[in-house]
Amino acid sequence: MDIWQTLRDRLDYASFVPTPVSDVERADLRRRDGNPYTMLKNPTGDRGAGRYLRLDPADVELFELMDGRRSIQEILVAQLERTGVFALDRLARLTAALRANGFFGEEPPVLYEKLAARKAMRDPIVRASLFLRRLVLWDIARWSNADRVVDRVYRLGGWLAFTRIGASLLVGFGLYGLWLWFQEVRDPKLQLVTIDGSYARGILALIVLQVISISVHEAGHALAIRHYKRHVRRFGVAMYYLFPCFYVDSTDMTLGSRGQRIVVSLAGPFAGLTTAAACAVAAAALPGTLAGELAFKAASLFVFQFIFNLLPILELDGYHVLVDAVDAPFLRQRAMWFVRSAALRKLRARARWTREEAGLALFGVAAIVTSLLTLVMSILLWQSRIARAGRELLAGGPAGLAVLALLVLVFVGPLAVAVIARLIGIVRTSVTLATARSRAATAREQGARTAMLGRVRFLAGLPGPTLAALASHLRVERVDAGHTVITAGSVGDRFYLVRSGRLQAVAPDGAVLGEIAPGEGFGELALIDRTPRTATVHALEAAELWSLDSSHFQRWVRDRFEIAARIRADQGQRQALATLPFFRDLEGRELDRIAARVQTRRYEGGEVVIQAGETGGGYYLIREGTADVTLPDGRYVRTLGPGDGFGELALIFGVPRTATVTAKGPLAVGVLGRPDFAALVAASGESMRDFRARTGHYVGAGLGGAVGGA
Amino acid sequence: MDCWICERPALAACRFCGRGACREHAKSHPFVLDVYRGEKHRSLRALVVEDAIHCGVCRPRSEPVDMPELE
Repeated sequence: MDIWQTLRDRLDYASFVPTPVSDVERADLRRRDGNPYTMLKNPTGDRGAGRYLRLDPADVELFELMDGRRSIQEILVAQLERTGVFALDRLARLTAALRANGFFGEEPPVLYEKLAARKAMRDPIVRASLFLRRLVLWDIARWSNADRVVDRVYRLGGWLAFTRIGASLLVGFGLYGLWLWFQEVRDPKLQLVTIDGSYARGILALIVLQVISISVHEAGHALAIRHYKRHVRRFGVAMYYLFPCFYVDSTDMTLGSRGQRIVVSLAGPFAGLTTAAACAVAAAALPGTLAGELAFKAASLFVFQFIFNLLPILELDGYHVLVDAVDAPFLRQRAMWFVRSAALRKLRARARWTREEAGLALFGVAAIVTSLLTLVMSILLWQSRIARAGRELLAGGPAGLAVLALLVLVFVGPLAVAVIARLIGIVRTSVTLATARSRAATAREQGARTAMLGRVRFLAGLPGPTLAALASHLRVERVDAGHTVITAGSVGDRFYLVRSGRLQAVAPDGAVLGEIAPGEGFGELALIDRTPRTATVHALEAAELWSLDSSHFQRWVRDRFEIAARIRADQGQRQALATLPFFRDLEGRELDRIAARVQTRRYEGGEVVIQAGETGGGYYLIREGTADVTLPDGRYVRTLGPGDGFGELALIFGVPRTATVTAKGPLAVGVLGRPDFAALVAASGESMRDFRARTGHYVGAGLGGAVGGA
Repeated sequence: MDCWICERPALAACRFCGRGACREHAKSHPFVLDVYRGEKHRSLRALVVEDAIHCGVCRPRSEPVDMPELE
């Protein structure tokens, strides 16, 4: 058995056989517009709480092919045969989602994610952010087995609320309570915030009543979920804005119809309304007593909660009812985005609005106005009630101070969370932007260096990453006019590239060797051969140089034999070209340009390099080996060796060869072809005819004499 | 050894697959050095390097692969 092959097969996505767990629940549902979708539930997922997945019809087709026998490859083929669609992407996304939600059995452990999260906790900003987030919502404990308790309460009488008569009675009672509460509000003896004139005691009482109110509200949701025989996914205790409360997770209702979901959403506020009515009745029955006063406060709080929860603008029950009623998921997010961006553009362009856009704009504007109103009300409440309660508590000694601190945390905490989160966001964005700018500048600089290195002849043809690596090790050096960069006879320790400014190379005897212009390099030969510098280079004007130290040069250039050979060959070629009479006055860079066009050719011993009488061809320069020159009648003229050149007549005038050159042994020559030569002359701005007229007198006086012009 | 991504000199080797990575392209990833059973709660505990070098190319799987053939 090949264990590696087994492992390879097991990790190969194409041969993976997706086998969903046996007890997957499935609900085929329809959107308001009639389009179908399917909800899947893995009841054993998330430690029994259940995992849910929403599938499009195309996903469902693929899911139905997952029968535990077909591999991914076979599912793709089957789907292709059925629909003509090659659904690899969709299948990959679907299998990843199913796997992550445990539909293929064991849920993948989130080992690395947990470790990464623990590491992130070392960041003080992350810790502070988590702490502040806990001020808003702190999930203290949760249980996945709330069904039994909910079921018992439902059987004990909760079910009555979901009968026609029961529901009608409760709603009627609720409305009566609401009317009664409005009457009580007018009674000046009943105070909403104070108890016996004390704001502090009044607010503390409201906090306790708030806990009860939220719990009643959540119980309403739980009973409605049970009524539709769905599962209360989780039951938990949390601190919401530091108010302890109970909550139920109604995710299981995603398998229910839209109507059922709406009833579940409404059940919470109406449970609160019923309790509010009971409290209002109690307040009316016990006038002038503490119990009556507390009952009025409770009724007020429940009514407030009822109205607040039904406001469709806030992301509470009313919002969920609206989202389900109009079947518009992510309504708030879409509306806020639309108001902030697209709506303004449309207004400016005076474009027509669709019904959906008008709805989004209406919702978005209402949401913003509600937020502003809430802010104004908070400020008014602060001025009229909370500040007075604070003063009262401050006067109450350490206990009062502790309660005040708690209240400050409750009321200021969420605001502080928002402000701090925003400040952190601004700082992070600024840092990110600054880093991005700095990176962009570095990348531009690096790009310029790489491009210039790519134009250096001996480095031409190196892969981009290698040039980039070289570029990253370049050091910027700025020199003033007259500054000596390298001195003849000194040990070579750096290779230089001229970025800007002009420099001059001077031989030890004082002869000017030439100017070095931007884009040119110098100093490479001394590094290659570890020989002393052969010239002094000084700046003619302020210049910026990029230099590469010898260690990096050795690593990237010298140790790459082809580059080292190219540098040496270039140098030899340059020297040989410079000896040609008509190239004698050329400067380094121009000789480089010519050398770049020289190609290497190899010949075996006895092979004819050029034949007397033939036309065309170019100028030859011997690099290695020797060659004999013979005239057409067979007479031997001389033997040429490394550094000797021949063929300049054909190069300039294109005349037939006057002699034959034959390799004596293995021979390597550099060849400058006539078309290349003509292109070089043309690039210099001179016509071939002018060049001939200018240089014709050299022929025969220099190299021509050696080989009869060949 | 060169960086797998940019081919510049590598400063480190990926702890998971051995590819080379330069400073710019090296990422960190938790690495489980060893696993043992805790004495107090008898649950599995791991000794980890929280920021081991990762090349960013290979994909360390967190799901174990069944290999009954090895029994």
